[in-house]
Amino acid sequence: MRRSTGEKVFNVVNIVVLTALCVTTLYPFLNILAISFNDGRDAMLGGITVFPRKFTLFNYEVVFRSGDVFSAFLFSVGITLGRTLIIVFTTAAGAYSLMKKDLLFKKSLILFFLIPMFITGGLVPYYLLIRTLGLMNNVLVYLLPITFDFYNAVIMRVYFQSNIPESLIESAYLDGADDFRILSRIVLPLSKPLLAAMMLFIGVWAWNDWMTTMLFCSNKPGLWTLQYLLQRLVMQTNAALKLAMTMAAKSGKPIDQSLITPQTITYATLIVATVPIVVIYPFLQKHFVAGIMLGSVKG
Amino acid sequence: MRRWSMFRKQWQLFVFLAPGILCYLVFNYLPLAGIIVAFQDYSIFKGFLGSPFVGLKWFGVMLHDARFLQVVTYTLEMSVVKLLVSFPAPIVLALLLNEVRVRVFKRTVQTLSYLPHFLSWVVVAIILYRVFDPTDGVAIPILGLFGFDGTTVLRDSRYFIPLVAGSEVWKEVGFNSIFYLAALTTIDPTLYQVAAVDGARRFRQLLHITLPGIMPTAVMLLILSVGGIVNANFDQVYNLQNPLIALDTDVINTYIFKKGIQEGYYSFSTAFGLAQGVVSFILIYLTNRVSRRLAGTSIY
Repeated sequence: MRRSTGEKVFNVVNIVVLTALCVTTLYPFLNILAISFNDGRDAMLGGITVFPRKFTLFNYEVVFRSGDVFSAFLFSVGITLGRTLIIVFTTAAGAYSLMKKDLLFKKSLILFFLIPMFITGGLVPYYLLIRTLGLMNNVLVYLLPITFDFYNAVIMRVYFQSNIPESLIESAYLDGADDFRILSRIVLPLSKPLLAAMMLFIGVWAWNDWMTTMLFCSNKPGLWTLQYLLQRLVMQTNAALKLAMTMAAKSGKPIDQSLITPQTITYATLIVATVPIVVIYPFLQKHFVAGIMLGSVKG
Repeated sequence: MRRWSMFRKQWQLFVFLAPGILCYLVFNYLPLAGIIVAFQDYSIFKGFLGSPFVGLKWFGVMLHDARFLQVVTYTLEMSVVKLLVSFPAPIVLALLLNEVRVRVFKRTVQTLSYLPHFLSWVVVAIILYRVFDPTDGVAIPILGLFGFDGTTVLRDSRYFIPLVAGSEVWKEVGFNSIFYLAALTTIDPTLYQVAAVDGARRFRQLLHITLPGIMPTAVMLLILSVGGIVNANFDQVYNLQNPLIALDTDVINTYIFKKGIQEGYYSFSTAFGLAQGVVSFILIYLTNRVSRRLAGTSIY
């Protein structure tokens, strides 16, 4: 095909624009990564780009040895797994029930789940409720309030209907299987790709959740997620110094406080909080385009 | 009687639904009942039932609140700017990506631009403060090229809305372009061939085939964002604020949080939240009706 000059110019401009977008996305990460591996006092002079100038592992040593970041990391991993498993399986089971054509009160149930998508009590009544229920500074506040996700249930229902032959379920009924067996032996195993995709998505949401901690668990450091700890590091400049002190206290090693800067400690924590997402990102990417297509089918 | 026998047959289905129903009752419907706090002089010690009713008192207080007007107009201003910038951006990106003929390049751009969507606003805020760092932020010399002093961006509340809109684009443009890329794949390729035979160039094809093809998706996403116009993103705004500009840059959501939860004016902020919720509900309802008329597209 012959290309006009206009099209050639457009193609060049297009590639330049898109490359600029990539650089804008990537550069700040590399910059922060470099500083997190750099000597704190040296970094304060500025001018570091994508390579550390005075390489050191000291920031990461502080971050891990102080215990605070490491325990928040472990807590985040545990609570993310717990929340993800609960939500995905409850939602899948609910979606299976809602798929049944002859389910009793089906219309009312769907309305029941739909209404909260449009009308909510707002932040303060929710906060007061959590207080009244005694869930403040309680690990259950992470697990109980969100166990079923109607939006994802709708997506799952569409997936079940279009991927699991009705005849398969019918014949299982005839063979005497009950709904529990059909769900656990047929529907869930046949929906593994969807379940995996949802786990990744809900997992990322749970990993990034700092607001639950800020609202309900800020007085109990044992229940802090890593994202919340990171946010505190930013909001309180002396928090980084405290990390270094606890590290010194724990290791019994005298520590030169002048080596600690809030900046490098914060960036090292940021990298620790972001690496898990970058690691699972390729798996996420494989799934999410398909997931979005599925979501748009329902509309 | 028939119902009872049906129920006996279906009890397992209801066991599957039970956690969801319970969770919704307690954590979604009970807070709805908690709205009565807006009509009470609520006190923690007297509780929901013991606090005295005061009618619409708090709505009056809200309207006369010194910061009411500022917070509401600022929220609307922010939402409008954000919408104007972040609504067209993914469309442009999808159209640009659609014209790329080199597969590897296209994939690389997609992979990189989707990634920020999966980061928390906590992380994005730190990244943004790095980029605009007055001593060595990478944006400072670039802005300097245009004769603009970038060192004050984080300290001056005038730049907060552009910062919010810009960071929104940075975080979401790639991911939101997926919706449009998906819509683009549904356009019949023969349309382009026919148009080419008729002598339509790439730009005319864009105007008459591609844009109409992604129109329904665009309308749908626009409806969703217009409904949220009184609902600035708390997560984003709260993380991007700093003590120097916090007072001037509060939106309804951050104001409700600070007044309600940090300062304990529960009834006042519940009333404010209720007013906000009602307005946003009406907006969603109206935009949905309008779009049903105009484009035959509705989301619900």
